[in-house]
Amino acid sequence: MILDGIDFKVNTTSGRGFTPEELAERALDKIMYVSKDANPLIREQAEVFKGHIKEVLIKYLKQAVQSDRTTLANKLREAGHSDLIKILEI
Amino acid sequence: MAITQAMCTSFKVELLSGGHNFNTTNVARSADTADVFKIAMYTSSATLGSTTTAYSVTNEVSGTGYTAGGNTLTISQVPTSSSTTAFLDFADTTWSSATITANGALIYNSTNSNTAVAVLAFGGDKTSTNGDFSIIFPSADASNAIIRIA
Repeated sequence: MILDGIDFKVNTTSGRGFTPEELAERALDKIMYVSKDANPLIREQAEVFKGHIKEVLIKYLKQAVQSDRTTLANKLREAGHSDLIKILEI
Repeated sequence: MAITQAMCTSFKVELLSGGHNFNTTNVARSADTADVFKIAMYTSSATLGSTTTAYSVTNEVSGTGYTAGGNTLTISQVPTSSSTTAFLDFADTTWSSATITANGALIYNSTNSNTAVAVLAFGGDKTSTNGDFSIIFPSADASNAIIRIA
């Protein structure tokens, strides 16, 4: 039997892209899934671990954003647009 | 006019006829190359559901950051199984810097005459304004994957 129950999410933003926190939440859902039917003790431990992974993801996503801004700033500087670097809030 | 979530009936028939290939190895027909699957988005004026058989431009979304035909999907989980359920999944897809409003989407096989696979109903209009519009597919497992055969 082909299952018709399709579960998905639609996320949108206006005037900005997704934040590291929003992307970390999405990545986390791909990394681990805690069943609602899991033993409560195991579920609790899994949720704590999930929270830890989320913090690690956020930290490195923010670092990636910052690192990319450094790269962009250098490209702007090399192109003679140093005045635009402050827009990147570095 | 309405968009009703469904696995298209024609897709089920075509699966049994070998009309869709989601895998890159051990493919029964021709070369070991998966078909190209795309996702197109539609406005609330569209009528989509289990009887949808193919992609159509009628009432397809238009706007900044969106190209007719939609995005090409990446198969993130090739067909596999867990216990008695076979499943596959797609990677999340995003329209960046987009100004669009959509009410639903159609996954279709662009390799096989744009034949329909599944209709996704958003449950209302979703809008991005100079922002990102993402469709986030569920976990690739037997309980959640976007396409499952149990």
